[in-house]
Amino acid sequence: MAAGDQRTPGARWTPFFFLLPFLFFLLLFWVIPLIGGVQMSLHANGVGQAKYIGFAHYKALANDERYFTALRNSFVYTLASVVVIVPLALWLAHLLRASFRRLRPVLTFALLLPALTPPSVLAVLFVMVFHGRNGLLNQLFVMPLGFEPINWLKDPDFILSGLVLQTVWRWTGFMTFFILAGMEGIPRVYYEAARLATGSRWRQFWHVTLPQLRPVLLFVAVYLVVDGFSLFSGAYVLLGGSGGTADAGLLTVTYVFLKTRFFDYGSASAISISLLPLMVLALFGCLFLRRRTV
Amino acid sequence: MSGQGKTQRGALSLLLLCPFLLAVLVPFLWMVLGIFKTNNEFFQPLGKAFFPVNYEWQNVNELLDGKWVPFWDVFGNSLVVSFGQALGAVTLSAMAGYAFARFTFSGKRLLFVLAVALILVPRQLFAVPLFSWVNEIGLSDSLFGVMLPGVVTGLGVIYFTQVFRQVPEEYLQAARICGATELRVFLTVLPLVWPALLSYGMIHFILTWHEQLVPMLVLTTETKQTLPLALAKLYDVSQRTPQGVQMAASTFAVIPTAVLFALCYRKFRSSLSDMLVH
Amino acid sequence: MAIGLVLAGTVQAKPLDIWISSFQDQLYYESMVKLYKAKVDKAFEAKVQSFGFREMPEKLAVSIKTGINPPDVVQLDEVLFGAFLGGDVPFTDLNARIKKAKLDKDIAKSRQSLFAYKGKTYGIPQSLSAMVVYYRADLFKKLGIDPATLTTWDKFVAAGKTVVEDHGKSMVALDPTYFGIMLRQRDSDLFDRDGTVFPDREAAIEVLGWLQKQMESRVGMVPERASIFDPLFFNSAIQYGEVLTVVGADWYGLDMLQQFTPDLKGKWGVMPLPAWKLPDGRLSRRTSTFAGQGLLINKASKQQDAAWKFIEFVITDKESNARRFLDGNSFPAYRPAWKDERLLKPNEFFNNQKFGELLVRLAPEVPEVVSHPNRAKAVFLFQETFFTSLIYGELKPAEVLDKMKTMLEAAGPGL
Repeated sequence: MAAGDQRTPGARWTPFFFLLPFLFFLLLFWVIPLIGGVQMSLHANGVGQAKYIGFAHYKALANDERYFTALRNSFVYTLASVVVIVPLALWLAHLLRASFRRLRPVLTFALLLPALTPPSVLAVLFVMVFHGRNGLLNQLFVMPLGFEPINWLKDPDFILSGLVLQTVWRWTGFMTFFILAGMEGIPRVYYEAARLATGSRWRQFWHVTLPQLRPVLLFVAVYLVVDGFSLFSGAYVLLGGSGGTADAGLLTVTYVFLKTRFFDYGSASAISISLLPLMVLALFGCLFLRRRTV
Repeated sequence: MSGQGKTQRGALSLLLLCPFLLAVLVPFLWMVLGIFKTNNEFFQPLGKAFFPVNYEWQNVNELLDGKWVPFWDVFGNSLVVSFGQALGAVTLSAMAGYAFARFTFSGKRLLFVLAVALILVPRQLFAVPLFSWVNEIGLSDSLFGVMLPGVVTGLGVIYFTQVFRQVPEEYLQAARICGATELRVFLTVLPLVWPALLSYGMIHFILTWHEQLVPMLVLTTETKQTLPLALAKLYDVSQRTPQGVQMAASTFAVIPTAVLFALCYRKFRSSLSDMLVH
Repeated sequence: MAIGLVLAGTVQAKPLDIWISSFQDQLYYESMVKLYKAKVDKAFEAKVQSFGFREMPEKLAVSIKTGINPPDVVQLDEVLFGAFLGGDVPFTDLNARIKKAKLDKDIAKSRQSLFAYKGKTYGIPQSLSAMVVYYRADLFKKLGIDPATLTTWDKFVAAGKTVVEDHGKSMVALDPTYFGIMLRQRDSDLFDRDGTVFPDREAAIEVLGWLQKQMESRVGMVPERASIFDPLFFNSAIQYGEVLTVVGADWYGLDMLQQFTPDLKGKWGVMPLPAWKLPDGRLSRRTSTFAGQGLLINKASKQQDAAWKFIEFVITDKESNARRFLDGNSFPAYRPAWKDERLLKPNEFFNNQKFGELLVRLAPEVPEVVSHPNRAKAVFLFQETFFTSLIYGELKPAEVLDKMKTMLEAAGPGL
């Protein structure tokens, strides 16, 4: 029952055979455009012209206050999402497993509904929920607790929280589904052994379930990082493509969008590419960590 | 565990799930009810006008008749594009994941990082160059122009790498001893991970359904557009188009996923655990 | 057979590709195409497509940049038009054609420069977009305010103070678009024709300070999402009678107020903007402008003549202009269309006032808008990033101007 790499017999080229289709499409539809993107980042690029300017965009970014605000916001946003969603999804998965078997498919699907709702509907929904006085959040939670209504969409102190809330609402069910699938895959034998060794359910969870779920959790974390840094939906839907008052809700991907919107393609590309080393580093870190714990 | 204990646990779990269920079901209900509201009603504060005054089916009829968008065309396009991408993504990622999980070769880690890192970069980077490249290979204004770029997914590679790591080596060895080619070995392993294939397929389907950037650039002809794209053009600063139409279209959009989910649900449970208990 | 092919080739030209910014307008243009075929050219073919107000500029830009399937004719809003001005402008200069068709006499003077830049005219405006004040006639009566006396902003604010103190209501709703609107009312703008940003700094500081002051004294109020275009604004502040007036363009009242405040039918009145007292002692004009759609021809189009003929038809056909008003609530910029009774008659919703007549009266005073490659950026930046901070007193007007200036002057294409 070993899990991990094995030196396999067979021709040297065998793994590449399996990798070929993926690599082919990767090269064709991602690497080639990437080269185009890198080229764009080295030019002053608008609708009407393209002039080679070398690393000027990157230099400008290094002095750009907004760029660093965006980086900081994205980091906080992603971290908060992961910290809230992962335990919450684990909790929900556990609840689902403990609930009536017949209901489980229906309940699981219900939790997926937020992820199935199109961004255009979400845009309107969030306005109704996050609005000031008449918004649902304020009417149901904030005001009954005695606080003044919070202007989630405009108050710079709360914009980022609003972003995190909407991400939690939207993706937790999705992640629960994943974790549930992962939990189902844990061989029952492990549970038996753990139960015999220690009666505590919490111990079972910590020593059996969680380690086995580590791969799934890695996936969840990567997905949320992607959502935080490079997927546009949540921020766009909530803030309409802007960074909000005083750029409080400006994410890296929002900044890229703003540049593109005003046709500054060169700078937009530079921002995106500047994130690449960061992402690669983070990924290497994740991989290294995983190796140590498995 | 005793029957009574199980029922108790079940009931308690259900109770604890209630707040979350409400949080996801109420907005969905709101969306469905929105189909029947006038714009004025629609934007009233949620407490005041949650239920529509009249249940008029006008918005639904108009949508299905194609008054606002060529509904059946765009709905079909979305289905084709998402399904095609899901199929493609699962195939490519599964094969790649298998390679990363079960083989050692030089440059493996680098390749893995490259494969995954590209999805971590904002999509906008690829938008313009991808658009002109897609056009150069003749796929502009074609559903394939949207589908083919989308079958590459770093997330899928991560997912399937994990999945194939968990397959017991003995299984593979057994197949090899019988003299199977590597391809045959792979094919024998596939049924073991069937639930994972289905799960990821569904996930990719969901994720690509709402995609807007690439479809918007590649697709121009109205009847070739995907559903979210076609609906986006109904947005008007002065709010003249009825929101009910958007709500109706979105409700219909949930159906394919629900069907997929219902069909595949039982198969999501891993056969791996069953096999090992034997 | 060869002759047949040649004939077929000459008779059938490629259909004109027209890109429109909204679905409602798509319907309008499709009917225009039909009308054109019937009235002018039976062999005319056109393909009309719409992409959504927000998606359109991006799709257009990418299409032009890569040269892949760009349209022949495109409808753009003037705010978004500016972004295309950095570098080679991808639209045809229409100056000569406009003169030949005598449109330079027939289109409202100030609107002619809407799509002009550095001496060339790239588009034809479709709407007048004159600003008026929409006021609650019923509440004015109840509180004893006579709209005819509100001839200057000072008098307006004075009346507003009574409204706040005696009745706890706000006099006017504030919106980020007022910044540009009020600058233009005062013969200034966000940019000047040389490309300087905030050319009249004193005026800009005065306007921003004015906005801030009204908020502070509660004479002005800001809708929760800081936009008077937010549907929820109508269902909260307006519905509760918390604010008495809004500054808006013709379509604001005709479209949004009619749709979202149907129970206030007959209770809305319209009046010109109160005037500013200018530094040289004169009173400013009593209207302003913001946004407005126009038609442009792609420089790379191979059907320049066909495109122009169609545009000319759309702009000058009186019936189409009337239709645009009646169906789409947009008051035309084409002056001969103003004689149409349907545009001028009393409007039930607006307190039986002759709305169209007021607009015609204000038309000569509508100021010009100065286009600039950074105009869209400036409008958006102020609206999203700075307005709320300003209005709640967190930033001073001078600070806002300086910060905006830095951001606008930072690396931009071709500047």
